[in-house]
Amino acid sequence: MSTAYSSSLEKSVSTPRSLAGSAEGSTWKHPLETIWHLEVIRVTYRLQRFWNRLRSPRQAVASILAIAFVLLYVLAGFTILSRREVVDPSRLQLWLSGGMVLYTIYHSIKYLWSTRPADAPTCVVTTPAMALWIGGGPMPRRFVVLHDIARVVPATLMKSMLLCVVIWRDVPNVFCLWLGVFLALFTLEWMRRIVSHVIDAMNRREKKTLRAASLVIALALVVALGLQTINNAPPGGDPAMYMATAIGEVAMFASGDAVQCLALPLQPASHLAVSEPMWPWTTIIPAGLIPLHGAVLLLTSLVAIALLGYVLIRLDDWAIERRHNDEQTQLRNWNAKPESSGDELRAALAQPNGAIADTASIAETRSQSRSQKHNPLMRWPVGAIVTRQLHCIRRYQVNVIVSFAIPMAVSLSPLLMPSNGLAGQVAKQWIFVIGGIALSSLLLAPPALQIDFRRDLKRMCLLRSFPLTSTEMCAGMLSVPVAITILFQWITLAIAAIIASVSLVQVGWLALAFPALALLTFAVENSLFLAFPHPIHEQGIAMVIRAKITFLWKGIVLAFVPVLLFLWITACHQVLPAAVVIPVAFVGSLIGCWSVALAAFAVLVRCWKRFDPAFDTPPD
Amino acid sequence: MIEITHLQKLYDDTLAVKDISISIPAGVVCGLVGPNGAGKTTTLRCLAGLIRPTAGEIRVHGLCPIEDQVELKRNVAYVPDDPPLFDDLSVGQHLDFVAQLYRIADHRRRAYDLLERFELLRKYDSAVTSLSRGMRQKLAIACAYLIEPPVLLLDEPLTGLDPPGIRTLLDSITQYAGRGNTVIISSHLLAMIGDVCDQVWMMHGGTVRYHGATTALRASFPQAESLEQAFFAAMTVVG
Repeated sequence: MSTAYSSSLEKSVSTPRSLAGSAEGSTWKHPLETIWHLEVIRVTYRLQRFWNRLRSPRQAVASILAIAFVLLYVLAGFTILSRREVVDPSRLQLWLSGGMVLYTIYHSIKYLWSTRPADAPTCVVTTPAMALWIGGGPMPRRFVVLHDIARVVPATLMKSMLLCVVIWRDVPNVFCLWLGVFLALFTLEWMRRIVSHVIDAMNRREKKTLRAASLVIALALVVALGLQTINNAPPGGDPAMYMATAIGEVAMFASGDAVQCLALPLQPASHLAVSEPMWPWTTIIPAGLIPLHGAVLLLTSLVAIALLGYVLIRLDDWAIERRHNDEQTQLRNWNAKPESSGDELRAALAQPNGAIADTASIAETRSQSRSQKHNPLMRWPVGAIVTRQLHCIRRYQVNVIVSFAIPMAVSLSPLLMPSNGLAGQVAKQWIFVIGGIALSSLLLAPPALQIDFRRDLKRMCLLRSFPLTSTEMCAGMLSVPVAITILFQWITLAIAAIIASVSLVQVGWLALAFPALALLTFAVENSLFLAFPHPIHEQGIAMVIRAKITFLWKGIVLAFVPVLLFLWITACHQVLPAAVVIPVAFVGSLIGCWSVALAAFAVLVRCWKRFDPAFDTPPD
Repeated sequence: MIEITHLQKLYDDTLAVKDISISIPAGVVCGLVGPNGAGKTTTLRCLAGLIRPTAGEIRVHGLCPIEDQVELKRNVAYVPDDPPLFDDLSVGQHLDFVAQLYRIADHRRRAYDLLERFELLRKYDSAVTSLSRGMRQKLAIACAYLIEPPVLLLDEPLTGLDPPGIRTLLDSITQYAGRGNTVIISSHLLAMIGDVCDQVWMMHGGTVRYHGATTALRASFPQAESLEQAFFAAMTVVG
């Protein structure tokens, strides 16, 4: 090779800046060192990009929001939160480890129900560049697996700091808290990946069985917690008490022996976080020697992580082998099919590209398809976007149904509480139902229905090329998620109205106002995304801050809208004649709600107009 | 150099590669051609050790992609169609990274020559996000040459390249194979690759439709004036 290019060596060309004085050559490097070097360059680049964007006028709003949030968060941590009642460290330890186990269970169920592409069937999350250069490079597979998990360390360190701001008052040593929380969160990452690897190794039949089992288990847990809540809530108590009891029951479940047994790898870290000695070390080291206990807990936690790492690497090998065996079984079945049937046409149609099949007849059949012929959407340009969104939602229909069925059940559950004829009890229950619908629309719908701009980050240039105005594009992208949220709102409202027997005017107003909330939610969510774009499964501190800011504006909406509505109705009562109060209050409040929603939509359109794929698309 | 025996690859309900057996000697440039969905990329990815075949055996430079995974990857360079690059690395950092990954000593001078040859030297310090489609392709090819593997697998490498870039690449392939290395080049630009390929490997529907010397394919269809015409003639006969 070197001789082939010897002629070019003779040419005198200006030496690039990085090459100047770089006569040194690469020496042998361990794969871990190579990965470390790569990550250092990448992190440096990202920090530089982050800093540049922070100072960029284009990102001014996002930057101000992020800085303001961090300042407010820290300020709140040292002022408001420092005045609250101190939680017993033992309880905190149990919640920390138990809560993470509950999260692992949630992750397992979610992962079990998700689908992965056929050519990327493992949970080892890599970008295409990682898959080619690291996965395709001369590096043992175990380093690829370890690299995948090591990438979460910086974000986990920052998340631990954010959590410390909230709970620093409950523990004697803040540094131990930070270290313990970090180790616990890092252990959680290993546990999640172990579960994911086991799920990845399953064949279709096993996954189906486990999915059914997960449904039964989830249902049993919900029913058990529901019954315990009803039993333990004070008789005749209002829904607030009922909600508090429910939260207490979840905390008690997380602190229970069964969950704590599952949290075994998390125990050293959680004990370290609250600076409390842990058995069996209490039998060897005197209880008073807390620093020594801390050091031992740190070591134990590191050993637990190392063991989990070993298990993960072994599981990865096992999962690859198992998937391969399953693939071979499928291949045997595939090969057996056409021969046994003897149907040549079927065999021909089974060609992957269908080249041998009678394409003319397929085209004829397709062109006569009723769904295409009579679909009114096809006659409307935005309809193409809506149709594509509908195709997309079909893929995730089970997830979407489950995601909305649970909040629907939770929203309606206050109505099942016995009112015992107490005055105002039904009204309180009704308020909680409305609150439940609003909360679900604001908090649960956006992550459950990410079939808008958030899904198309890599296709922004393509979207830009479509012959649609910005308003049409935004309307098309938001149509399906907003419609599904409205459907959820209306169904929940209808069931609640039947059970609670409230006035039709109230139900009618809610039925017309809630869709505005759905539009507002998705418009703001997408505006934030376009102003501050990120890959859909991105992790990291920026995502944590973004999630908190999103949560903050939702909290503001929930807090201010009822106050504004109350003020509006009070003003109507005081200013207007009694005969027109209800119609004016009814229509006026609806105009107000929809004005806000449409303003949010206008902001979204503006954000889409200013979105520049070349500048705003984050690095892969 | 490359031995494939009864290779099959199944993706869920799609049998992408059906019982392929083929042998390509060292020092040969083999053109892998066929319509979209023929199984070319899947086969190349199996050869590169990126995906595991469902059945069959592969030997590349005497190495098995499953048993000698790391060693095989050290001996094979695979450049996919529209190669993904690390957006946060510059052109020079990419080459440094590849050199470190593949343990290439004194790589800078060679990297420098390669970038000059592919007209990327001025972009040495530029981020890869600022490169055009063709430049990204050239950088990935330069990285592959930097590794200097005995087996080079190029999947649609001409897509996005400018005419001088295509000529440079085709010349470099001929020179590279001339030193005893094996190159498989998958492309739809039959006229372009016809001149550099010693062998043609035609795939259709996951099966091999033809494999042999380019001259033999042309000789089978004397009325064909180019490889492209011979290709269509061959596809018509067997398809």
